[in-house]
Amino acid sequence: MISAATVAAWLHHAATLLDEHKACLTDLDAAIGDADHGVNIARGFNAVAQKIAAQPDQSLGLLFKTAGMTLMSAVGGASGMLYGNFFLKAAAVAGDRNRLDDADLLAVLEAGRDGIVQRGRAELGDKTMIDAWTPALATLREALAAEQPLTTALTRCAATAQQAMAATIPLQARKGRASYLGERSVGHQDPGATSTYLLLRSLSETVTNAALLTQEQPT
Amino acid sequence: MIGLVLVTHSARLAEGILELVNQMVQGGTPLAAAGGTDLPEAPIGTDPIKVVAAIEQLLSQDEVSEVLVLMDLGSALMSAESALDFLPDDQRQRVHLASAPLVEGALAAAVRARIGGSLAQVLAEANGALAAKHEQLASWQHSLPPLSAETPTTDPTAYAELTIIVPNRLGLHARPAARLVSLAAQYDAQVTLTHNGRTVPATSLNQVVTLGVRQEDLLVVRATGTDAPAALAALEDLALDNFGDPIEVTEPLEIIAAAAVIAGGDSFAGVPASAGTASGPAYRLRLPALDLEEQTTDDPAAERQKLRAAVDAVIEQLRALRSELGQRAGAAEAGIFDAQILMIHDNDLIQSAEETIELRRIDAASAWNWALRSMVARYRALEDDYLARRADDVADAGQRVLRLLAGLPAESPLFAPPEPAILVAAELKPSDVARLPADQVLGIVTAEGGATGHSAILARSLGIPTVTGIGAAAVASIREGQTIALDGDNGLVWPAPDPTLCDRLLARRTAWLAQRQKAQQQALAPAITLDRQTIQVAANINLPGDLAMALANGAEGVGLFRTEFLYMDRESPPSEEEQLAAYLEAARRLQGRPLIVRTLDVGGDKPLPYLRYPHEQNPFLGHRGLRYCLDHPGLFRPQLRAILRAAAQFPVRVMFPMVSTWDELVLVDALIDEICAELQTEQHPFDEDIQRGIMVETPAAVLLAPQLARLVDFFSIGTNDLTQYVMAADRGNAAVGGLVNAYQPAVLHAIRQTTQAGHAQGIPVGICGELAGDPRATALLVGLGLDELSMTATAIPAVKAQIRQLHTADAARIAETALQFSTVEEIQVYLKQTAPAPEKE
Repeated sequence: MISAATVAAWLHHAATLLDEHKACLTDLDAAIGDADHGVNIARGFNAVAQKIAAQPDQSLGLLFKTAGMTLMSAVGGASGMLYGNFFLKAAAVAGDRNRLDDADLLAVLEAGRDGIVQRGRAELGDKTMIDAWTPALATLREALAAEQPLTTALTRCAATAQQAMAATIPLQARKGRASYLGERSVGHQDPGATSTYLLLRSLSETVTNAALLTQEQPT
Repeated sequence: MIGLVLVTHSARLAEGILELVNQMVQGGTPLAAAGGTDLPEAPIGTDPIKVVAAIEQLLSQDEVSEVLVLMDLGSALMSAESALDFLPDDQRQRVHLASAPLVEGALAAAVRARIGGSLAQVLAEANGALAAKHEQLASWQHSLPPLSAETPTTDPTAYAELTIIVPNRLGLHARPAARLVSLAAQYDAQVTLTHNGRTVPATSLNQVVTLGVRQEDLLVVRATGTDAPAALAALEDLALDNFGDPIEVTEPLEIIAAAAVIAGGDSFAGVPASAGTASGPAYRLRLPALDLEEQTTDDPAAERQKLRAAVDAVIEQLRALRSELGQRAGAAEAGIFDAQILMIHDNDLIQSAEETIELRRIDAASAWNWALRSMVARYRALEDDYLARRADDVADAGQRVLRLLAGLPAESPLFAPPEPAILVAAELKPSDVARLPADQVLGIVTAEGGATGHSAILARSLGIPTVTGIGAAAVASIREGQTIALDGDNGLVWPAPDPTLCDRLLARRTAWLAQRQKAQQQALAPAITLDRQTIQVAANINLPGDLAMALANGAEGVGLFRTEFLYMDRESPPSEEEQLAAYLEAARRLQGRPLIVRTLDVGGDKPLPYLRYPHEQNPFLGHRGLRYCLDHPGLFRPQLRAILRAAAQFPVRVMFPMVSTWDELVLVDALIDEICAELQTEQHPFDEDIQRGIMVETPAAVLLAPQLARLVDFFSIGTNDLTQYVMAADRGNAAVGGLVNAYQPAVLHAIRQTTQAGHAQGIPVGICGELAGDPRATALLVGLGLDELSMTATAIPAVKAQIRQLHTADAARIAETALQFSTVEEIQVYLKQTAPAPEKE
């Protein structure tokens, strides 16, 4: 179970983490794209963090919608459109809820992932963020089905995303700017899969922190 | 009127196009632009909100009926699509996105819109906007520098193109795809295949298969290069020929597997190979997974070379397997190896591994592992069930490369199901059966094989219910983990058994287990004659793995471990440690029962590839057995050391083959003394009082037996060679082969002399030739006074049953009488008459 406050904390943490990795993401993008992913995505999530700080106590649907719309306008590149659609689709599933149980969270993330597929039309193996999202969410689904605690499930989800991110290295890009490079895109890690990993890692870390805090406070 | 929205990454570009278009239409066409972002620090980009605003601005004008959106690329497409999502339904229906070129398309569309074209007409104009440009510049094409073969042209007119509707029932699965790839590679042309918007090189099997082409799908083949027309013609012929697949439903493995043809309603019929019933999940043999540690390298070129060499070596392995299987099972079955060869000899896969080596500077094995895993994942992700299962073929072939790179032997697959299961396999080698974890195997189902193969015999002796020969198609249709049932008495396999059937089979299994336990107790019980004399019955083995079967059949020890087999199928002799491990393994499995290890028995008639033999006129009478070993201490010493060391822990005995003189035994004793001193110095435990024996297999040894018995602890008569030497006849020579019969009176006299000589000296005498395992000879051999009979494992139960019906006094009389006869015929007729009535079960 996670609350809207935890989701807001996630988006703040994501902004921080992406900002810290701005240079690394940009370097990855410089190798096979237009060298703007790090700067763009960090700017987008910082804008998101500011927006939601200015509008506290929203329902999750509104929170995700704010994030989606903000990313679409504040990123400028394709990743903004993709992550933007992620949050818009997530918003549709979250609706006016203020907390998500484990199954809801999975549904929200999967709907968001489907939004990315809908917008980018990437398939597995195309060397895109989908190569990280799909295996990572499959892990989350399995872990939850095995009745593992959410913190464990999210940790494993992030770990899978990390492996999947590294597994984009030998792939040849078939979508996005990198696909213009053809075979020369092989051997580089996909920046989108990398930012996806960071996003899932920040989710896992935020939820784990929240769980620790809850345990410390007597109820 | 139709309005136009222009979406571009650059606000200035948008303004420029508007300026250009307006100059043409003089404000007569409603236009709006969404260029760039509102972000001062990142002005280049797109924003769907700006697109929405532009569309809404046009739609709010009364004269605008519909809007056509043109865009540049990348996020512009996504922004335009997102914008449509944000529009209310009634507005969205009035907007269309065009894939036309931005500048030319905008000009053409604006002009058409101004003169009142419909949406369709405006769109057509925009899409055709490059035609005039093409036409105008066509005359310049010849003066352009020719494209090198490396860079495929992007000009669609330079392609020769062919559209194929795939006729194959299972789509472009591994074999037809392999044929296509092989054919495409023969031409000097760049051939690509396009399917559902994905284009791949026709020379990469992995990419072609992972297209996931199904029957009736449209496949566009494009070719450039000198041979392009020829390549297309050949590919068209191949397609017309159903890509080489039979049209009828005769493809043995695949088509029937897909359609799962079932004999007799709900079961597959096979050969009843081993009695009993079973039901449970089906599992296959798997290669043990490798645990690789990633290494960094300073010499990526060397790693790349290693990778290429390993791939080449594995291709050779696969070719060998293919020709071997092709001879046994026919070309169709062997075709899977062709596909595997193409799967790993795939530029896509190899290059991806090589680039990983270069970029991440890691070792070849780890890089190959990366590339392989992503390829396997691509196969697994295919929607088509059949094609997705080919992931196992890629993984299997790839694992071979990995093992080679990791310096591991090409290990046989293991059976390691998560729970007790039924093993499903194409075919099983006896060694596979011998290594099965007995508590994990409920039953065995194989595609190949009958009831008399070694594997079936072994399964019977291990008591594993087995059905063989249900056919490759049936086996291929069984999924991993699927619950199946089998009836080893009637040779039936049910791929989807209902619970009542399982219950019935379970009841039969319980009864069968009880019956089997009784039979096994009989086999395992000692062989005691009616007058309470115990006769040792032991097994002859070639490798420690044979012991499972020997013990299941009731062997009370090993009377002959033919160590030659440790030396075969390799490039150098086994080291002392390897041999020690083998002897200890055998001794451990025997759990205190005696193990007689015969030292290496090779020579000109049984050559080993890495040992040099001079050409011999008559190898049977040549430098072989102990004679050869004594002259090659470098070969002999490690073996003796290993045997002596094993004897320190277990009742291990040593036996020397082909002895014909006293001196040979003196030399052996001296050598053993020397080795014991060495082992002492090295502080290895050993047994210097190890029991030593000889094979009595030359006439010289028989005649000298009274003297030789003083030097050794036991005799074992090798009747196979002894018969040939006594009769001076070669069993391979048809003209005299009839003489090679162990029932020849001369041979029986030789056995008696040896036995008497041994007993006179107080040492036991055994027999380890084929005669020992012949139940017709049991009474005779017991009567001749032999203390131990050592034979092939499967003969043990019958010989034990014979012994249990004997009285030693009767046996002695039978032997005495038999030795009175002068001919082999008389002896055999006599033994037949005196044979006890066959045992009733």
